Amino acid sequence: MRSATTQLSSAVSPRLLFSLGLVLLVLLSIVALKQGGSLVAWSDIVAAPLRPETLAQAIIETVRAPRLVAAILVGLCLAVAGAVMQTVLRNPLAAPDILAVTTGAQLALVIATLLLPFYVPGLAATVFGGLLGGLACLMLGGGLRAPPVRLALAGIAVSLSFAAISSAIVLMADDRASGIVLWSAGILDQTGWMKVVTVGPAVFAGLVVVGVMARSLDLLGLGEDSARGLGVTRTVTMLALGVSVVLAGSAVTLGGPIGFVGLAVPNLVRGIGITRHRQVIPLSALWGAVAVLSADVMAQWLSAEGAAIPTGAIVACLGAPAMLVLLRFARIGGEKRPRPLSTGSRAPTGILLAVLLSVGALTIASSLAVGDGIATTLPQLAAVFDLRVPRLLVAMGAGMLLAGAGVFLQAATRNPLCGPETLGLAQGAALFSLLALLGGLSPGSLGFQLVTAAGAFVALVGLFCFGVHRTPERLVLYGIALAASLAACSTIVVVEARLQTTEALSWLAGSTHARGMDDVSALMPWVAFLFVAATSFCSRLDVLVLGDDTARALGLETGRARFAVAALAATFIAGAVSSIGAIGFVGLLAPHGARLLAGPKHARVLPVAMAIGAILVVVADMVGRSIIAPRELPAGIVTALVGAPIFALLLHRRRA
Amino acid sequence: MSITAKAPQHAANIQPAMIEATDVSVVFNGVPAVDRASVAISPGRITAICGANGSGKSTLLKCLSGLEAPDSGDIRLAGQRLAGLSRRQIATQVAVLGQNPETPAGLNVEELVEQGRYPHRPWLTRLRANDREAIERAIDAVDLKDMRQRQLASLSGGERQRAWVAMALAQEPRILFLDEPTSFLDVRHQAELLTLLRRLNRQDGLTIIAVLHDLNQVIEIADDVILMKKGRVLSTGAPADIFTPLSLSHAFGCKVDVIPHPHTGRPFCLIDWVGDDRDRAGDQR
Repeated sequence: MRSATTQLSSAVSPRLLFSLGLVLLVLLSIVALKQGGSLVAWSDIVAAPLRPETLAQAIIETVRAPRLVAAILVGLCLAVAGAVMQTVLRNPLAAPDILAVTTGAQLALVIATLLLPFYVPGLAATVFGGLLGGLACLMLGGGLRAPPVRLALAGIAVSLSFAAISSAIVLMADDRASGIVLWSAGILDQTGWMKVVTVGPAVFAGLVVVGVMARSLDLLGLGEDSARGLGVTRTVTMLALGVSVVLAGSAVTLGGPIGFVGLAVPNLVRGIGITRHRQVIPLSALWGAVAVLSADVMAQWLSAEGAAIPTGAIVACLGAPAMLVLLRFARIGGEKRPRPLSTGSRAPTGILLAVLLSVGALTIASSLAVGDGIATTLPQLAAVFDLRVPRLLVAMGAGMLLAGAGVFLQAATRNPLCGPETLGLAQGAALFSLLALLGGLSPGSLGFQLVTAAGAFVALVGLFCFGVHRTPERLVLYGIALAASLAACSTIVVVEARLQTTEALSWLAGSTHARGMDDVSALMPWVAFLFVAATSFCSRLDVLVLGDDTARALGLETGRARFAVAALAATFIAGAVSSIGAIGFVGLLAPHGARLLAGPKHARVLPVAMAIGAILVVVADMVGRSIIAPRELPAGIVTALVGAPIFALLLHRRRA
Repeated sequence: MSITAKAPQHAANIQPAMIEATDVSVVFNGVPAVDRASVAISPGRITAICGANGSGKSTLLKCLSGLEAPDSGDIRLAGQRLAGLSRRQIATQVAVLGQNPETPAGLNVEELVEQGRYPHRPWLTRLRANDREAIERAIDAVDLKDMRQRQLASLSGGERQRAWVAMALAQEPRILFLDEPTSFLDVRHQAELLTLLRRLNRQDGLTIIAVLHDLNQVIEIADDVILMKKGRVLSTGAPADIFTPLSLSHAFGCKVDVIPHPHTGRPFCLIDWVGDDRDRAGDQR
C-alpha cells in the first residue's frame, strides 16, 4: 500500500525543489541588487564581477551586496536551526523564536550595545544570550523530553518577558522611540561587510557540523530511546542543540529577531514528504534563504522615501498564511490536549475574598499615591487625585475585561494556552484601532470602539474559519502566527503612515497615559456588559469545559454556545483595547491565577480572574509611570515584564 | 423483542417502546457507518449493543441518545420525534456516559455531579433544594459519599467511572446510555460497575443501553442484545436466543463457540483466541 506521503514525495522530487529554489534565489538576488534608488543600472550588475571603479559599483559593494548576503545567511541559519531543533526535540513547534533563543540573543545584544560600558563582540553576546534563552525555556518546559505544547508554552513565556525587557531597555536608553521598531522587528541594513565577515565563519562551521550529523539526526527523529538503542549518545543531542543556537545567534547578529522562518520552512519541507536529513537540511537552508530574501525585497520595495520597513515585520506578516498552509497539510503528531493548571488545595471563599479585597485596596491606594514621586500628605494627594483617578478606573475596567475575555476564550476552546494575545484577537483590535485613528476617529468615540470591535471579530473569523481549530495545539500555533502577523501589520502601518511613533507604539503596547473621565464613561458600558454576560454564562462555561459530547448530553447546544462565548470574548477585548490599547499577558494569566486560587467552577473563577486582571493592570500602570518618571513605560511592557515571570512560576509550580 | 422469564416484574407491563428507531442511516465520507438500522428499546430493560470494531455501535448509540443526528431515518423518544426536541428537553430524559470522557483539571466529585443538574436548572438560578437532593441521591447510589471532596484526578479508574455515572444519575434520566463503560477498568472495577448498573436497573427501573465488548458480560447483564455488523443490525433479542456460534462467528469474523455455563447453565462464549495453532501454551505435556 502506498501512503499519501510517498505519493507526494514522488510528485515533488527533492531535486526539482532544490533547482527551483536555486533559480528563485538567483533571480531574487539580482532584483535585490538592482532595487532601491535608480543609481544602479542592469549593466552595473552584469559588470559587477569585474569590479569597475564606478559609483554604482561602490553602492553594490558596500551596501547592497552585504545586505543581500546577510539576508541569505539569516534565512539559511534560521531554517537550519529550526530543522535541527525540531528533530532533536521531536517537536514540530520547536524553532529558534519559539524556544526563546532568538529573543535571548536579542536581549543580550541590546544589553551589550546599550548598557555595557565595554565592547562585546555581537556574535559572542547573541550566542550567549541564545543559550541562556534556550536553557531557560528547557528548564521551564521540562527538559529535552518535554511534551511539545509545554515546551512551546514555556518558550513563549520566556520570549515575551525577554522581549519586554529588551523594549524597556531600548525605551530607557534611546530617546527616539522609533528605535524600538528598529531594534525589535528585524532589520537587515548593513554598513559594509563587517558583520557578515565576522559571522560568516561561525555559520560555515555550524553548517559543516550539521552536515556531518545528518545521519544521526535521522536516528534522533525516531525518538530518543530508539536513537540511544542505535548508538546515538546524549553528546550528539547536545552538540546539535548547541550548533542550532550558534546559527540562531548568527542570524540575530546579522538581522535582529526575525521569526517564523525557523518554524515554517523546515515544517513545510517535511510536510511535502521529505524526511531524510541529507535532503531536509539543504532544502530548508535554501528555502529559508529564499523566504528571507523575498521578504527583504518586499520590505525595500515598500520602504519609500526614508520610511524603513523592517524585514522582520514583512516575514511576520507572512507568518499566519504560512502557518495556515503548514497546519492544513503537514502532519503534526503527538498532540495531546493540554490541561489547565490546577491545585489540590484551594483557598476558602472567606480568606480568598479577604485577600483579594486587601490586595485590591492596597493597589488602589498606592496607585493613587505613586507617580512621579510619592504623594504622602493629603494636599499632595488631592493635587494629583483628578489626574490619577480616571487612569486608575480605566486600568481596572480594562483589566477586568481582558481577564473575562481570557476566561471565556479558555472555556470556549478548552485550551489553557488561549488568551486575547495568543489568539491574535487583541492584535486585530489594535490594528483596527490604529486604522480608526488614521481615519480621524477620536479614541473613546463610539465609531472608534465599533471599528476596534470589528478588528477583534475579523481576527476571530480569521482564526476559526480555516478549520485548523480541531486540535488545541494547532489553534494556538495558528493564533500566535496570526497575532504576530497582525502586530507586524500594525508596525508597517505605523512606519508607512509616519504616525507619531512614540504615541502609536505606546498605544500598541497598551498605556493609560492621559486618560480622563470621558474615557472612563466610554468604558463603563463595556464593563457593565461584562458583568451581565459573566453572570448569565457561568453555568454554561462549567458545562462547556466537560467536552463536546458530555456537554451536549447535558443539554447544551455546544456549537452555538461556543460561538456565543467566543464572540463575547471578542467584544470584551474590543472594549479593553479601545480604551487602553493592546495590553498583553493579563487575559492569558488572570484565568490561570484565578483557577489556582478558586478551583475550576466559573462562578468563582470569573470574579477572581476579573479582580486579578484589574490588579495586574493597575500595578503595571503604576510601575510604568513611576519607574522612569517623568517618562513612561507603557503598561503593556510592564505587564509582560511582571506577567511572564509569574507565568513561568506557575508552570514551574505545576511540575513540582 | 422477546421477554425473558428471569425478570417477572418486567413481564407484567409491556409498554410501548421507549426509543424507536426506523431506517436510521449515518454516512461518514460516503461510507455508511449505520445502514438502515431499525431498533426498538423497551423501557426498564438493559440493552447491549454488540459488534466488531467499526460496526457502527457507537454511532448508533450516539443517534439513539440524540448526540448525533442521523442522515436519514426517524428516531422517537417516548413517541416524540427526537429531531423536534431541544437539547435540554432530551437531556432531562436521557443521560449519556461517553467513552473515556475528559476530566477537567481540578474538579472534585461533587462539582462534577453538580453539572448533571444543568438541564434542570432554569437560567440564572443557583442550585435549589431538589437539585441538592438529586445530587445526594446520585453520590449515594454510586457509593462515593466518602470521596465527594476528592479531586477526580486523584481517583482510581473505577472510582472516576462511578463519579461520571453519578453525574449522569444527577440528571435524573429515564434512560442511561453508556459507551464501552468497562473498557479501561480492571476486572474488579468492571464487576463493580456492572453490579451498580444492574442495581440501578432492577431497583429504580432505569432503562440502560450500553455498548459492551465482552460477550460474557452481555450474557450476564443484558436483557436484550442488538448485534451489529458493518452498520447493519444483524439481529435483536435476548442474548440466549441470538448468541449462537454461527451468528457470533459471522458478526465478529472469528471462531466463537457457545457452551452452557458450568455453574449457571446460561450460554457462555468461548473465543478461539489463537486459531488453529496446535502448539498452544500448556498443550505439550
